[in-house]
Amino acid sequence: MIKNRVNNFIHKNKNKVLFSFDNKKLEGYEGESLASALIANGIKLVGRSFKYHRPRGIIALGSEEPNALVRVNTGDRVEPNIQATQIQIYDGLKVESQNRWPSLKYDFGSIISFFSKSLPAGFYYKTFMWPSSMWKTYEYFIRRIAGLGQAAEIHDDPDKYEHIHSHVDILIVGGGATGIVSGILTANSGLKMIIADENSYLGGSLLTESDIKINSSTSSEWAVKTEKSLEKMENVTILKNSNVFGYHDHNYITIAEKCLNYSFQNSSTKPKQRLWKVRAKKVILAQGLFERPLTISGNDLPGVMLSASVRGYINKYGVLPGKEVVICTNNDDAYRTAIDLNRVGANVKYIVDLRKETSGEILKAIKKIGITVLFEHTITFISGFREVNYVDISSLSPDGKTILNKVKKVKVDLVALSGGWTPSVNLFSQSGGKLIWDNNFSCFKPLTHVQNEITIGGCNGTFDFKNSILETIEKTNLLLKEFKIKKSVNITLNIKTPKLSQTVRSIWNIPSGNKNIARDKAFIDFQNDVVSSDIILASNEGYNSVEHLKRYTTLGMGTDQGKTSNINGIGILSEKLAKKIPEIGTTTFRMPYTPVTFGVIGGKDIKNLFDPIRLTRINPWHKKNKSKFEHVGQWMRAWYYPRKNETMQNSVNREVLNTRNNAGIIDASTLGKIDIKGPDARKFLNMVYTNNWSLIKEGHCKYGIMLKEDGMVMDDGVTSCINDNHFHMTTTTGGASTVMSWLEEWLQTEWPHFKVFLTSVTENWSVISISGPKARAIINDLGCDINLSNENFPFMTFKDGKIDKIPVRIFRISFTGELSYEINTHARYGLQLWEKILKVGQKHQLMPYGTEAMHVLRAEKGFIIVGQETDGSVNPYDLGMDWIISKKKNDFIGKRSLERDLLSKDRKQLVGILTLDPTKVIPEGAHAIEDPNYKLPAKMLGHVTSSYYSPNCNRSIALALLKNGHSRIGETIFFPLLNRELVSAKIVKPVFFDPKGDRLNGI
Amino acid sequence: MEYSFLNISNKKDVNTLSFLKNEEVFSINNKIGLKIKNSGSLNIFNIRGNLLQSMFIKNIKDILSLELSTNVGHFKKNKISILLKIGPDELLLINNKDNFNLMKTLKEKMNKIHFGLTELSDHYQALYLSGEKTRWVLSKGCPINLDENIFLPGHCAQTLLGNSNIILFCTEKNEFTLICVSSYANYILSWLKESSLEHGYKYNN
Repeated sequence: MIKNRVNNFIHKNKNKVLFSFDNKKLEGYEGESLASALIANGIKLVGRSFKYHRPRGIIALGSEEPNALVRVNTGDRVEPNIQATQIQIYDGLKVESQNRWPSLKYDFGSIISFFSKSLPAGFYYKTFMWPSSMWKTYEYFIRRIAGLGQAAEIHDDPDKYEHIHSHVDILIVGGGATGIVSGILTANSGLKMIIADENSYLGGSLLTESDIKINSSTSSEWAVKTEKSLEKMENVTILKNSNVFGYHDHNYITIAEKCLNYSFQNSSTKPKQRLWKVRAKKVILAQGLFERPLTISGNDLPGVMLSASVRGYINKYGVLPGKEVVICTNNDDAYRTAIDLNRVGANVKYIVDLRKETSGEILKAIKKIGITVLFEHTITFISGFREVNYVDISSLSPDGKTILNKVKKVKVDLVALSGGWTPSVNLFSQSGGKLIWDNNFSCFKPLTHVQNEITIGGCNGTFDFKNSILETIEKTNLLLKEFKIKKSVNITLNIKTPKLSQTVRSIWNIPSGNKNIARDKAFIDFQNDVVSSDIILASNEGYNSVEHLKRYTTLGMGTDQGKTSNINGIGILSEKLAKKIPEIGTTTFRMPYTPVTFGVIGGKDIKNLFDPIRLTRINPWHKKNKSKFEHVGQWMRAWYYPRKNETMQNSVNREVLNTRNNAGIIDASTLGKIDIKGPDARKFLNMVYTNNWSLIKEGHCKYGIMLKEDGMVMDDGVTSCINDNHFHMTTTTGGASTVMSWLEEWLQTEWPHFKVFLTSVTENWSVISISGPKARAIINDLGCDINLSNENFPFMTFKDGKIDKIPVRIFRISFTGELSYEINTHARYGLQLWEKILKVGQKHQLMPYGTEAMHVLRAEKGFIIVGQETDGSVNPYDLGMDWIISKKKNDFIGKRSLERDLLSKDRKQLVGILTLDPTKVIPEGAHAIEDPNYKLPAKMLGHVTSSYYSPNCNRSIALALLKNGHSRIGETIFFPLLNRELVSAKIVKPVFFDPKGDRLNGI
Repeated sequence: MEYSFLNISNKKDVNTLSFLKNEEVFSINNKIGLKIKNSGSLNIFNIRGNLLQSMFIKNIKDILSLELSTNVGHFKKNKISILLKIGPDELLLINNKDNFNLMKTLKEKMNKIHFGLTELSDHYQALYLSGEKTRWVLSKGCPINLDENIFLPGHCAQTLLGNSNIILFCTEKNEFTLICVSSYANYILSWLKESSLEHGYKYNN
């Protein structure tokens, strides 16, 4: 047996496993915590503290552990900053300590400790300020030293994480004594329930106490038996190794589960962690209590532990953290630790009790086994090098503020501290519940419940075990009544527990016996190296609010979230300010209650599932023909079609030129399409567009702009009249779903009386646009049965017909300024039709063009793209589109706001930009200035919204939004670029090609 | 000539997923937790109107031989059609046979009331899901209560799966039809496969 093992522990019958800590091979039992296994192997030093690099050991049993943060696994599975208490060991586990170099024992960083007086709380705000020019140098070194733990070098986590939604009647948070009792009552009622606990077994303190009997079994035996019976019940889901980390609105709770059936071997199929998103009709919070340490000088040495955790290691894991022990306490609970230590052969030299006396019957048991109790005494100094060696014990003045006599110096290898108990109220507070201070037990406990939950047992501030069980039964039965459970559910428990006094004496800052004042450190927050003098200093500097105290000192900001430190810190502050603790209050409790990996938060939304990639029906052709793609929202659209040895610019130039000289074809299927039906369709369109829709005839199309209420351009598109009660609206690709939601919201909330129905038909139609002088000839050659002459089929109209038996609806609209036909057909025919058109079009030099060429073609004509020329702060007047604002309509969305904008000066307006050097293409986003001899900060006039090389114009072209742009036509302006180059350009009207629009009807 | 779905005679059986392999199997210990099948071409229509109006209810019943569900989130079916009540004024009609004459009749009969009929066969893609682990897998990405005692056969919902909107309806205890917008079908299929890795899946085209 390993040297620190004792008998009768929960993992006794499990397999032995080998793991390593800092490359040293060690042995443990499968499933026990790493902390337990390290203690079993006699390892006390497990890390170095964050700021001072002080040697640190394990102090606690569970998620309240602030010190033992380690790095586990290797390669791309590395996880830093994991609490050793929260890892279960398995064969082959590799663990490294953190924050030390070159080794844990001989850490170079421990030199910082000697300068600790210069590094109090808040020193960051006072140092590295001068000279300001040196900040970048200081920052380089600070970044290298700062932080705790190191992430994996390879950022490709091979493990899987997932989410799961669950709806239950009851969620019980905490599978300790009260959680299990509540669980039995609920389970027997038949309600659907989840019990969640952060440990790998249910039972909580039932597994860590040796002096509780339930129905003649030990508490541990009862817990194990009860867990097994709960597991068999179909309406019960038990989540072990699961942290309930967030209590959100409407009883929505988030739980991070470490999946029990995961291993490296099955990691390609089984998830490593699962995020449960639980909606519970009722939540029962049964999270228990955290023990607080005492604020004693030297209390951070390895070998100093929380008293109840010591007996937890003995009873649950069968490990003995030390053999020569002094216990220091302010309550009766620590006496139980003394009894357990004595039972397994440790020498408890003294119980040092801050109180004057205790009336608890447990004192008799202590005296019976011959342990000396020193009342109204305290440990005043804990000393040692890398672990605890000695404690100084002194008598206390009645007010607890001064030391009277130093009584003894005692050699120890373990100090167990108990400074009182803090109910775990984090989740209760996250739910919005309000707390009240209990002066008897020196703790905050729940007062006002806001959501549908109850708190039971320790986390409700009920400290006596029997009372907590009785309270649980009563409250759970009351809760079950709300569900109108007809069957009465009872439970009989015959409980035997030691009789403890409930008196607690809180001395927040134990007077120090450390003669070396320079090295005198009584730690409050172990993880962030916050000492008691930091609290005093913060208050002296004016940080008297508990929230300021937290930020200034970093008290409670570590991964333990102040579970063992907050109350002690608040206590010291209250004494400093001579205020009562309720006046100080607590900081805001926020999720996560315990650390949660980004992996489990991300779940499956990574790599190819990060965001849906949407493809059109014609996509197989684009892919086969080696198109390059670009993202347009979630769509992947063909960007350009490079031929052999073509650069992107070559390819785009070719596509643009060919479209204007022959014909081009583009897959425009991604455009948003909304079907509008109803007798009030025109009325509706008149409200959502700025122009007049009352007169548009059947078979005709009209371009429209939509504004938001603030008068700014939101979207644009062409809407066509199929008949008086039926319209087909198009939107931008990226705006499709936004516009649909927008229109539905207005219809349902503002105009419910309108008889209009809207249906998204975006993907019901494939859209193929043919542009260019030969477009008509190509469609004729396809055998289309529509008369395509200008007289029969004028611009901005549409016709229905067939192309080779495929029904089509053809719109004569143009985004290129060329003769264009947008052929709409059922999506299932899209690919077939596309291929047919290309085949027939070959003889007319028809070529596909992508979105980049489309951008160039429309820019040559000065056509805007919403989202490119607009950014939510641009109205139609800015775009020079006064013509699209109806003067006659009484109202439309955004009308009122436009009236405001008419009065404002200096608005940015859309213009064209021609660089003086025609080969120079200004980058999009470049800012315009007036003065070439500018001094910083330069006065900016506006920016470039679109910029391309135009092969049809044989030069660069750009569109820009400039202040008072419309009145600046002809002026010269300048664009300073990032490389310090200054580009000169002239402001022109925003049309660069075919300004009269002659090409629309074909050459 | 007016473009109308009623004129479509060539019922090309091609949907978004038709280009994939015909069958894909991934089993765990020879078990398959989820079966996924491409529905092939379906006729899907969106029907809008005042669903409380007696003329509306009567015409639906007479022409389509289907009762209208009382509550939103339920559906009725007969041998060829399923009628989902997915909103207070919105129905989705799905069938796998040619019923254009019925649609034509419905349109004509409803002429005098405020009514909308929009064909969406290519806008949507449907997948049939079945298997012991169907509910568990769907719960990984669908926030509604899919408990077998709550989301029963005859229930439907407009909801989410992962990052996609879907319409889901339950035909048998562990059998569902999932409808998504066509361009999301590849994502949905990838999502379903990834989510059922721990239990095994089978996909049929």
